Amino acid sequence: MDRGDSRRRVVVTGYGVITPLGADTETTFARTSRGESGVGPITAFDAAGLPCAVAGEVPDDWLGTSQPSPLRHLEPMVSRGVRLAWQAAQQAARQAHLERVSCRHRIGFFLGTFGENQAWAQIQSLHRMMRAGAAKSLLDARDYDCMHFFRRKPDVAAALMARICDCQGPVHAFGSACAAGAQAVGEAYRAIQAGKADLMMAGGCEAPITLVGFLGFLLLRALVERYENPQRASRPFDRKRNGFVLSEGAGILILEAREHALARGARVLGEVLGYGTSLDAFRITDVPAHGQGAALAMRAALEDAGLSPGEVDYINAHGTATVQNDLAETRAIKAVFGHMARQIPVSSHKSMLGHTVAAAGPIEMILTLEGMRQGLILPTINLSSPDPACDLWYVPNEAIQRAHSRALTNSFGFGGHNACLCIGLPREEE
Amino acid sequence: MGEGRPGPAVITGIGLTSALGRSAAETWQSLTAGRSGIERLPMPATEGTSMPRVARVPAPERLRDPGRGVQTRIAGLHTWLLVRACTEAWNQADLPGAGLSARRIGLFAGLSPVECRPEDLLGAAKASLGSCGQIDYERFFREGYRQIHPLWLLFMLSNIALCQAAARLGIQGDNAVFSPHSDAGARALWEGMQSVAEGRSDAALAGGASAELWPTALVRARYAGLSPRSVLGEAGAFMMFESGTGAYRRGVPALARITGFAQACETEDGPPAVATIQRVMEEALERTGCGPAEVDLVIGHLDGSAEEDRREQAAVKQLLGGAPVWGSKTALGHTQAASVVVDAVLSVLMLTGGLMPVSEAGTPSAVFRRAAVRRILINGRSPQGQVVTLVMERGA
Repeated sequence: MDRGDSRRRVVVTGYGVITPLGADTETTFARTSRGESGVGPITAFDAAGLPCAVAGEVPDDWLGTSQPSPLRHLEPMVSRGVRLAWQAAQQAARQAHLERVSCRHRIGFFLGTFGENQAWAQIQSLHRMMRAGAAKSLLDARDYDCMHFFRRKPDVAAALMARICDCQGPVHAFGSACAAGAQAVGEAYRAIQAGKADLMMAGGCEAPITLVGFLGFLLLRALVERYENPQRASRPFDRKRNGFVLSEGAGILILEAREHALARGARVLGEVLGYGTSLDAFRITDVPAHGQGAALAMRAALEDAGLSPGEVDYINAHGTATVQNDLAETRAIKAVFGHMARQIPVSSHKSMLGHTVAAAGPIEMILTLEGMRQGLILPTINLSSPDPACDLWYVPNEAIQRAHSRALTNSFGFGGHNACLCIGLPREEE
Repeated sequence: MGEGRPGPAVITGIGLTSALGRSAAETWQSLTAGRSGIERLPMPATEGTSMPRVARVPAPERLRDPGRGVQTRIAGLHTWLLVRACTEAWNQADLPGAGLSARRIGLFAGLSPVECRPEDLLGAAKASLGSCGQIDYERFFREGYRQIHPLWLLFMLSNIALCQAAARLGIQGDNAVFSPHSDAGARALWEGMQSVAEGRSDAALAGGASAELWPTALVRARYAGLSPRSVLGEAGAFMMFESGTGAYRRGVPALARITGFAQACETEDGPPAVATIQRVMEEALERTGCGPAEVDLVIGHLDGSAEEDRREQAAVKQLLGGAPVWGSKTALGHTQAASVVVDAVLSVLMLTGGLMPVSEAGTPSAVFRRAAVRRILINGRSPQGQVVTLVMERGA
């Protein structure tokens, strides 16, 4: 696995999540390892009458009651997504003892997020302005919340997080839809490799359960519309799958140059071994049937890690539960892993958590890492009617005890963005 | 993956669509002729916005080319700006004839966020109005929302524009989308260059595109931290990177190189401090191995914000002494995610054309003179505190 190059090795020294199943990594992992579902009826708005009325929501009381002190005077700019990210970042920072790192301009923050959707009332205000034909009418409209602009812009979220965590190095927001969080982590890994930073906080946050945000996905026919009950709605790789469940959450990791982590005595929890991205270059609204783009990303990650397919112990699938995605991903895994594909456990955390969009990649990477550390592979729940075309080992319904030290985690975004991260447990010398 | 590391990347193609022209050459010709792309919008559309002036691309409908690969229903102006600039750089670099594998070509972009267009929802709103003129949600859920186009969400995902360019040009390699300000375009350039230099790509397109300037964007800009003196602009700007050896082998001229890059984020309230801007410029210069005296021109961020611009000029003076400072935004507006890339494209034209602006920073019309330009330093910043510097030099 020696890459034979001069790039710095990048290790993980902290992580945190907040998901519909828990306000922290420990709770989320414990509940996913029991195969619980975080999906329920939508409470954020009245969804009665819509073809889909389920989502994975994070209870408000998990978000804490106070704003982090650097943000108190910026309250109107703080989106729900930032509040989710703050909960995850606090866990990660505590675990990595980030407060002990003094050279803050060598710490950066990369965040994948779409930003807050407009409220319906905002759109009504815009209509009035359009009718009046004058910007002034909007400015004069007392019911138009102009501060929404800040909650909408992804870079504001990244900059606010950098401010809270005192990260003075490179700060960026990533906008590659469902692959954004994984790309944020992948690019943070590259920034450390290239010596642009010694430590990076990276991840994703998303809070799309609003009427307008939900409608967008519903209109695309991407959401599940036929389900027995909310907990059974997300069915990746199952024959009865018919769309994904939209969810909210955040996952933040602390990546660090290995020598930097060792020099300060930080505990190494894992290592980023490789990262690969690709584009489908296909019809924007379709997935190539054989998952060629997904296969390219997995191959690129393996090549970057200097690993052969036979050295991968587990694959965390993107596994959204749409008919197209799961079939294409299955075919892509077969194309990359050949005859070994059926022997490698593959599972979808979205069966339990739903799809947290830009946050999905980081959350699933963290749960995969936690699984490696505990020797447990999380299951794909609701897999009761096997699809003959999806014929890999999806770890159906129950977690399995199994030592594993190297894994791939996939994230694929609307439009044809693919990202794959290769991660591993720390090697013996750490 | 290619064999080993190919070494430094060079720029072999540029593309630019701006308020001054539908290509890099057209923009350059207008700029050097002293023209400005800034216009005053008619009242009352912009009444009260404090931003009555904009730099919009001329005749945007002429940019909309219904060619192969682009799904026009979800292609806003930002998509066409991106696709056009990418295609221009692609053609100049003669990539179609290079025979490269699609999976070995990268694509990196800084993209401004795309706003929800009220007119996209108008039908749904009309179909859902109750007797007192408010939205009747029962009606909305029963029939109203079905009036919204199914692909409405995709229009607002800025990454879709990049995917459209990928589909048009057949690009399948390394990629990332950064959002949404000057630093995003700068980062995209750096990542594109690194992708080639580190052997992940044989060639990579990198750049940025701004979103269309609607009246709502102007209203919102007032709250976005942009000064009322700033002029927003529309542009798409891209560059093609490939290895110096690869370009030489193909007989394609190396137009210029990016030799330095650095960035930081100011975490205190208020605009970036002079010390932060200076540290970033210093770090970028260090990477080039050159001293402050070897910088021939600084293209400042200079977006018209009084305090921010003053701090930038103070930092330049402290580090670079009397180096001339010029800003493109007085002619092309602040094109947000594209702005540093626009300046980088103009730098390539200055480096290759031997022309340098001599007008004072902030002067509306640029005046150019013949000069042997070797090295240009470009600054960018975002209202959220990001500070970035690029250093450009002539091709090897």
